[in-house]
Amino acid sequence: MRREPIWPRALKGLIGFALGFALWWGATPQYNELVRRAAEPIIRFSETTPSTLLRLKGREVLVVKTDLPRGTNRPGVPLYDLTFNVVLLSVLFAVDRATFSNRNVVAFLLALLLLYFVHVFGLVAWINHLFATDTAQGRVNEYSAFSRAFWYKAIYFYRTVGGLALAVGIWWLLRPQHLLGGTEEVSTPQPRPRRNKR
Amino acid sequence: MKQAQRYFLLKFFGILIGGFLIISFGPVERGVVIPFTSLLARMSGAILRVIGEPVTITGTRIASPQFAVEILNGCNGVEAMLILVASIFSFPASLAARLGGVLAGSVAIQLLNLVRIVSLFLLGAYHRNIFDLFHSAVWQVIIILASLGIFLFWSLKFAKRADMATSA
Repeated sequence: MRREPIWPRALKGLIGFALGFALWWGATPQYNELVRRAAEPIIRFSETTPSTLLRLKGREVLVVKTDLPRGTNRPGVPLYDLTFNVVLLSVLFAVDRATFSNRNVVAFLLALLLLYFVHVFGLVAWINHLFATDTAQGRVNEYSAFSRAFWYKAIYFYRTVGGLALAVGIWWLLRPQHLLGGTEEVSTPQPRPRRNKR
Repeated sequence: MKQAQRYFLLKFFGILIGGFLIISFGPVERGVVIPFTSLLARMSGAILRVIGEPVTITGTRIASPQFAVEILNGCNGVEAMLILVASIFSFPASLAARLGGVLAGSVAIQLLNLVRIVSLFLLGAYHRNIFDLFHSAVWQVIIILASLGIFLFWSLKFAKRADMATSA
């Protein structure tokens, strides 16, 4: 059995981490706009009288309620806190044996697309959690005790473990066959050929 | 994707969500998670004192004249342990191998987590401008990668069907 040295993979992982980090930090303002555009209609669709607008401010998304008086507190959602799992995803795809193979690159792009939907869901969950708990937003009464607990748990889960676990799940779903050395690294005892006795 | 892998993913997220609901259940959080986090705070405080930081510990809070930090859920390594448990218990292996993997892996994760807490405290005290970056992104990713790395190592060494971890 031939074992690959671990250091080239570790180096790839480190480069993947640096590039993923640069992508996450550098593209955050543009990317946040994409997430905001998708989340806003979902939030407005759930309202009896659509009155919520989402506005970008730095690396945050401000929740603006047009039916509330000017000067009302506009809570912000730190979107970077929801999107940093892209760094983890970059590392996981970078450590592949054939990092720049078509298959790995396509799988990574597809994973980014899936992660985008995860981020939109994360933002929607966070805003619903805000509406369900922040009395200043004037919507607390629209949420039952169950839905209040649901949105609280959903965003708590996402922020503590779910966001990262979803990135791992997406990678697991799309990872190429030859990941982590392929089957040649696996030691499976083969039965010895039997000799016929005369 | 093989059926076994789909099954792995379903079990993984099932155990993860189930585990999360258990640890976020009020009595469990108050009776187990918070005391465990306080223990981490005391251990981190002891390390910080050894390296010359005049810190005081109150529950899950570590404070010095320059900086104070409270260790909350998401920073106590429990989330990484949960990912490890979900991975190992979703994978075909003997109970002894699973328990051994969870135990050894959890110890390794918590040792790394102590490094995280100590380094974040020092960053907060002396390089506040990069504290948030390391707190929100860098260390979170490192801890989860460590958890995944331990799982992959364990699956190659001890699991019954290591080929599941390495081929699709």
